[in-house]
Amino acid sequence: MRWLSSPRCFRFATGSWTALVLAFLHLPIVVLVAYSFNTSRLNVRWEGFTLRWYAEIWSSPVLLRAAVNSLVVAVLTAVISVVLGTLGAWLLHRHRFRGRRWLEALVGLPIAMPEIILGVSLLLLFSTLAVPLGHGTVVVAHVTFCFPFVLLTVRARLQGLDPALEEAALDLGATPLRAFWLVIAPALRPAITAGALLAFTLSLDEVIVTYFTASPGAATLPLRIFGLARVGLNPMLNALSTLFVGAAVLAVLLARDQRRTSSGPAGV
Amino acid sequence: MSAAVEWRAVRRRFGTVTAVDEVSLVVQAGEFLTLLGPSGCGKTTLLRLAAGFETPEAGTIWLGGADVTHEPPFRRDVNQVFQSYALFPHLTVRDNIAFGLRRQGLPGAAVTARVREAVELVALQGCEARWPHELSGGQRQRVALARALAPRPAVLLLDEPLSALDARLRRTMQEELKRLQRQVGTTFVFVTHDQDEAMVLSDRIAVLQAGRLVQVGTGPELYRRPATAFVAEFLGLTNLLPAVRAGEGWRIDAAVTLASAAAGAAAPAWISVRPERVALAPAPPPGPNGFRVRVEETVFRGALEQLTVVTDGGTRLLVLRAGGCPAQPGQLFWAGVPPEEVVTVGA
Ligand SMILES: Nc1ncnc2c1ncn2[C@@H]1O[C@H](COP(=O)(O)OP(=O)(O)O)[C@@H](O)[C@H]1O
Ligand SMILES: [Mg+2]
Repeated sequence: MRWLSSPRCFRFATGSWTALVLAFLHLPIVVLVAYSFNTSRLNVRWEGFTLRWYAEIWSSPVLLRAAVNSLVVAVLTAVISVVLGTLGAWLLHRHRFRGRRWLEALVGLPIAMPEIILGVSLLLLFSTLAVPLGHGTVVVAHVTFCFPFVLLTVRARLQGLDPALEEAALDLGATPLRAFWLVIAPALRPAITAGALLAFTLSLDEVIVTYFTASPGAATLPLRIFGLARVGLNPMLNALSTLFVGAAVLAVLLARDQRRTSSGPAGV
Repeated sequence: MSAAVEWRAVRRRFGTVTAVDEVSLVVQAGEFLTLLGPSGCGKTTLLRLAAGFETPEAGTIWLGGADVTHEPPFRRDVNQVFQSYALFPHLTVRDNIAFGLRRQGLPGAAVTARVREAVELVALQGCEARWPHELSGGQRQRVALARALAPRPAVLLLDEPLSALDARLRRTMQEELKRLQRQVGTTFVFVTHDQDEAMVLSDRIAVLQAGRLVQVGTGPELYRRPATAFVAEFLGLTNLLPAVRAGEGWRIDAAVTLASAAAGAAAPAWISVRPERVALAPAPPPGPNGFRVRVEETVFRGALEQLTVVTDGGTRLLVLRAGGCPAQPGQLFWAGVPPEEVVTVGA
């Protein structure tokens, strides 16, 4: 059994295992992307290259509208979640008040709650308050389950921060607000960016909560895709999904870039 | 001279712990004062009260003759060098040092000039563009110093700034701190638990014990005339002996009674005799306070020889003397202590 522990064999084994896992994870996506360029209407046989399905998306006002809806909702959700999440994390970190532990437990609840329950309860809330469904209700719904992610990420980063940093800023004449802006916020930047991208992607591909809280005009792309898929598979779906994958890859690359540059920003 | 910092009957409690208990202390302008005491005695809390990070439950804090008890840190003319240095990790050395200057609203050219001045003061030329994580411990220390000194505060607070450095670097930094303080003339309030460091650096030392101020004085004053047994033991080695009044002297044991130059305190009391003040000789010393001892143990300590000797009455004494010809266990000597070196101390 010596050969099993030899470095070459070990490298071969781990190498092929990695390849296998990667293939398992990504092969369906590769297939999906490939068939989005297929002339055939069926996702089973390759017949030839075409951009027809992309053109069809482009010429479908319903899908375009949905794509714009998705982007607007995701951007708004990310921005609002970052503001709420960062402020919330800061308050929980800085202030000792009664019921803080309870509040902390409650903050994580929307993450643990099944989406369908979240969706139904929000719908109930909106109809009780007689709020008409639309973009606004979707954003509110998305923020509900996205901002806890930002809060928890930022909170973890805050706990790893030297408490003397803020004191040093105050000591050198910065007001609490400036100390936060000039010292704490830059230190939190990687966590805030990560939280924002997480909120953005979570919002972008959410289906169930959106289903309950969107009006037909505010329907997002995943909701439309879901509707199309129920009718039957279609290469247009592949094309749409390819665009989604492209956006996701872009987001991941951006996040990586952010992390690399966050160690060397300009002066105050 | 005027008071730069004053704690007036200040008390601060955390839960059941009284971190600072009725402390009244004045630091004169331009003085290098050290707060000395074991870990947990309230040194950091005293500094934080002066900086404005803590508010006292009772008493007041004064800076330059003004009551600042309820002023926030950013409105106090003091700067602190933190134990962890607390350099801003996202700013270069230059921007770290400029931070306080920019908060004062100085114009750009003045900031640049003052940063250069501070960098020269701590000999960090060439490091201005570096990031904190690229610096050694000693360099970070210097940046923290430069950053705190650049805005020219009336008082600089230093919380065990040297404790993270190795022994050799520590010596160098001690010398530099002393030089720096003379050069800028700022009032320094320095915190340490190291009595040696306190002696080397300070004009005056304030000894704290369990949140209380025990004694304030120059190094030699505290060393020669400790007010309590705690101070005597905390500053250097000493022989702390229970003694009872016997006529004009203090009886240590059945065989030894020592005369003291100090005015007779109420008995019973402790007396403190520094080990280097005990002279050993083969013949009885001429003055009073001569008694016979037998060597029990000797320890070689480089320049010094440390001996444990026993009196005829069975009292053990520590003796330090210049290492020359080493003594042997069992050897007999006459010990002598000048009366002015026999110090009575409170419990
Ligand atoms: N923020 C705090 N919360 C609770 N206890 C504290 C706090 N700060 C200090 N203490 C307590 O007060 C006492 C004095 O602390 P400190 O001033 O840090 O002492 P030192 O600096 O001399 O080591 C210690 O018993 C410490 O545990
Ligand atoms: Mg301390």
